Amino acid sequence: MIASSRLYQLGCTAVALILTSGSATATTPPPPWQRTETRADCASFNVLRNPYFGDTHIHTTQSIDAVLFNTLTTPRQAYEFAQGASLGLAPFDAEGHPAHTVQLGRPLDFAAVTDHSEGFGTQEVCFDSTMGPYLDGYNSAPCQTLRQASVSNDPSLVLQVFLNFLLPVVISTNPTYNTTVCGPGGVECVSRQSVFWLDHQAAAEEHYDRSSACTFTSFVAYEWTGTPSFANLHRNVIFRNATVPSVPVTYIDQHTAQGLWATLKTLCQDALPGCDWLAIPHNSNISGNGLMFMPENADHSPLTAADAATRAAMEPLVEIYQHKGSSECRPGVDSTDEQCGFELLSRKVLIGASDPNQTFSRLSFVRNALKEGLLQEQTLGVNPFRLGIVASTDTHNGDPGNVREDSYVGHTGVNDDSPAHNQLNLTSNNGWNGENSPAGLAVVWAEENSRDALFSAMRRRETYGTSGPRHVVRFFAGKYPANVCDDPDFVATGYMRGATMGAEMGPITDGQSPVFAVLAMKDPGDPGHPGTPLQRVQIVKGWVDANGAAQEKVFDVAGDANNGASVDLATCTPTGAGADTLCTTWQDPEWSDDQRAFYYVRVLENPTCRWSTYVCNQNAIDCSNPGSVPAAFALCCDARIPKTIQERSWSSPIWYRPEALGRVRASVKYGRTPGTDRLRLVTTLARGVAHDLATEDLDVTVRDDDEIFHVTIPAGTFRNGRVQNFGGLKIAKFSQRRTGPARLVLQTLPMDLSSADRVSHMVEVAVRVGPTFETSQSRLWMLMSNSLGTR
Amino acid sequence: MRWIRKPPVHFVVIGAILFAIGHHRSAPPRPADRPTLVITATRLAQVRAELGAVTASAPAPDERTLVERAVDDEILYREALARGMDHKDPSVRWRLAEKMRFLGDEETTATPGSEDELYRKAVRLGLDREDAIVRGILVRQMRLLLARVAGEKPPDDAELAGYLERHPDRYVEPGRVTFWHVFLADDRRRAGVTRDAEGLLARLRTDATSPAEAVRLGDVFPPGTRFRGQSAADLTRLFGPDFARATLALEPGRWSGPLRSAYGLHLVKVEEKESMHTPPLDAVRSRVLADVLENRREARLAAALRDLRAKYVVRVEPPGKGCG
Repeated sequence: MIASSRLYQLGCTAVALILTSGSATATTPPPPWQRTETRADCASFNVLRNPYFGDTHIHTTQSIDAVLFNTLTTPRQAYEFAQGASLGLAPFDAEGHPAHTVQLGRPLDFAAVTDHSEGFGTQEVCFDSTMGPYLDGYNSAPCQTLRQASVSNDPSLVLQVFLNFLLPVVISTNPTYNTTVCGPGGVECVSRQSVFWLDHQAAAEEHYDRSSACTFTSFVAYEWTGTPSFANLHRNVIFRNATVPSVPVTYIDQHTAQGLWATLKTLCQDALPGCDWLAIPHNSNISGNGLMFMPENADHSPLTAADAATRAAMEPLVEIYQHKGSSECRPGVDSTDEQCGFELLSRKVLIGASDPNQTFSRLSFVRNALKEGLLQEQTLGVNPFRLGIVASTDTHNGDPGNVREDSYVGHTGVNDDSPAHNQLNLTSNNGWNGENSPAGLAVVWAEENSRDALFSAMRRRETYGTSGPRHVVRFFAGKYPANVCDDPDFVATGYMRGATMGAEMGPITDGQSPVFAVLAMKDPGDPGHPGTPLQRVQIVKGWVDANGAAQEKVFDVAGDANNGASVDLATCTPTGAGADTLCTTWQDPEWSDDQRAFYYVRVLENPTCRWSTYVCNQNAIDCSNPGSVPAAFALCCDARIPKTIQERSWSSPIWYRPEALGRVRASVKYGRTPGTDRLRLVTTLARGVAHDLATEDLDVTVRDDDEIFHVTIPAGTFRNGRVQNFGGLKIAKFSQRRTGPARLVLQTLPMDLSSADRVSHMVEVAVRVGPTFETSQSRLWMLMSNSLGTR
Repeated sequence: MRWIRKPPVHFVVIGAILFAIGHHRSAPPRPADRPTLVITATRLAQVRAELGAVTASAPAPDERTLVERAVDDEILYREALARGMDHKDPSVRWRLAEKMRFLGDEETTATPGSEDELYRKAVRLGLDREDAIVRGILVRQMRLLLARVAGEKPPDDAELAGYLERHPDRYVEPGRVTFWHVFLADDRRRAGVTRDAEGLLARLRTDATSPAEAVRLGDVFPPGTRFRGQSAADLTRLFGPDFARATLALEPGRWSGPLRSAYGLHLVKVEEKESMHTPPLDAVRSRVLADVLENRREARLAAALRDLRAKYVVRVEPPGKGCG
């Protein structure tokens, strides 16, 4: 034990030295992604990645349900707010002075304005009187109502706008433009939606820092707002760079998520070189009967492997928490985890009856969708719900990242900006305001703060969500020594020898659980506003048991649930101690080599006051004297709403997928002369793949920012498990024993592999069999004299 | 549709404003030979709104900018029509045909699907002349067309270097440090954290421990042990403003500290330090290249607009006298 630990330490010192010499001298490590735009490299590039905090869900005055409630913030102002500028919010008085002025304590690193695309053309027609002959739409009654509503707070106008513009559009199963406004077929609104879309693009461009300082990243983005019969199926579409289609694909254009993905692919990847996007679904908690994660196509046909692969590729992330509640899980809905009670909504759809005792659907919650994904993978071989985790705000005030409990200004304009405007209401026609909450942040582990770096990290799911605080959370799984928390330089080893959040682990055959390492750090806090200490770290496990049923279990792995910390409800001052950092290693006591599973981290802070407690305190509400409590403050004394919360972070899962790549051993040996480099690669592959190789192609790619090596071995090429002198390969061997995974060995002829930079950096090995099975593994490859390889 | 039946527009022309006709190659035709281009007050209001939508964060455009823009757009529009671009563009054809269909003309609805016929009819009625969308499409295309040139010679290094020299502020790099840090956690060492930090600092300053070995003597700091190219903003994000200020002021090459963050104490060894500077061309070549090409496109467009403008007499209508 001691001997092996020393050996390990020596190994790590060598690693650190190599990383240093590599980056301090001429060779800068390449990123594991291609740069698709013209911009400066970032000075703070870090091969071991930095956490970047942002908001991928922001509405401005260019969303109908924001302007309807008097929000005037433009996309540009939203980006300026994200970078630290102050912002005035509705209601505005006769002189235009705002009732609220907000400002972030610390700027965000990135943001994506995601206005509702379905309203782009409509708003342009209703608010722009300069379009000469097209004043028919502008002068129409629905437009007049919308303009009146946008400068008042009148429920009857709100209702009319809802009936004119929301019910027949985003909430309909057969959405259409309002023809009174948009003309027959909606043509006016269709052609004029590009005005807002161009404005979104221009706003994002103006606020993107393309210099080497890399202070801020914006994304061109929008929201697809499908809400058939009030079931929330909304997705935010985030584009990788400034190359985007000339129009957004809206719910009116495509009524299903599958239609959205297919059309976007046609207009983007297939049509525009460099164009790329991903979609982030949100608020599955109000998707009716779990419509968001129904394991079927929109026409109710069962998913095929290809359908599942498409979904996993197009939607790598899910938004787990925002203003409209948490979607993680719910006590009693396939879950007994008491921490699932965090910020729940009492309704099942976007607008509907609030009743915490009604029956909620299993697939309305992300944890159950993750479990369902395992079940689907069991039969299809592909997991459609391989969901990484982010959180964001969904602000309709244009104030991204404004997530502190003590300064909540509501979800959308004058609808809920203050107690006078039903902010604390649980019963009115607006119903749910008191259940809303200040929302969270998306955190991305990326090499630098640029669009390519952040987008690639989102795609590989190396992300986590927080309920607001800026925790730093690292999560690895692999064959690590138990003392990683005594190794301050552990992160390099983490990336060298195991999987990080969002990745999959391949087969394990010795019955030993991998070591899960969690490193969590509290939020340092805003200036003058210290962060809250951490209470504990949990690992949430979901798996498919021997009977084929999905199970879950939550393990406390670090910290102390009974640390005695509390909060004084009268002053909101925290009491008692917690941790600044929590670091631990953990092995699954119930590990089974045969059971597919996922593991994600939940970090919990000590208790603090919920936003509503701050508002009640500020207004000196005295619940011991019920007669003194104004009606607008009834919620202050309502036991249904908790007084405190435990802020938290949720990591993306690490998946145990027995079909994924096991330990890959690979190296590029650089030859003495150009064109004489060799690659050798040994890995395990799923059982059963051998059979497929007779009928399906095997495709292997090794890449960093370039393709280092690629080969496709057509179906039936292997003879007795061997292929010789093919596609640059000296030999490929494939062998399968009676039990356990198969083994694949590739060895190239001498060739030019100089695109593998001679510096320690991240390299990905991707394997594809047939059209739908694919898996990949990314590791930190180390430079040792004349070779680069896994360690 | 009442806009079709609108009476002809009556412009009140108050006088010719001659625009910078400056440097065009051929002598302009005499004013009497040139067509008149009238900018109405309504048109100016439209341009004001358009500019406002695209440059919301900039100060409101002044009257002269508005007039210039309105004249440019009108010239580009006429030029596009002169080149027949409206007949070639499928989105223009589609739009005009749709519009004709919506007019509910009985004769045309009798033969639906004949897009060509609808389009020709729309043009006959002059629908293309009044259409803001068509106008916008054509003006945008014309701008792109005039800015482009076939077989453009890329700028050489001298031109790029010259541009960088004239616009240093666009490429300036902030002060930055690359450093290692040994972290000593408050909640692991409690009251002993300062003593530990000072003891370790004294040791590191005297013995030959390498930075990579030194960081292993501290506690785990999840973001990492070595940070590259950190500006004040980067440092503030993870360590707080006090730490940022102090670290940027450190002398490179020796262990310093202890510096305080929200988590504990840090011993810091700055490896490299860069003060604020304009980078050499090689470091920013792709951005300078993009900027120079964009500059050329703007210059080409401006020159083409100057030449085109010389063909017209421009008149601006005063406010309040627009068409009803």
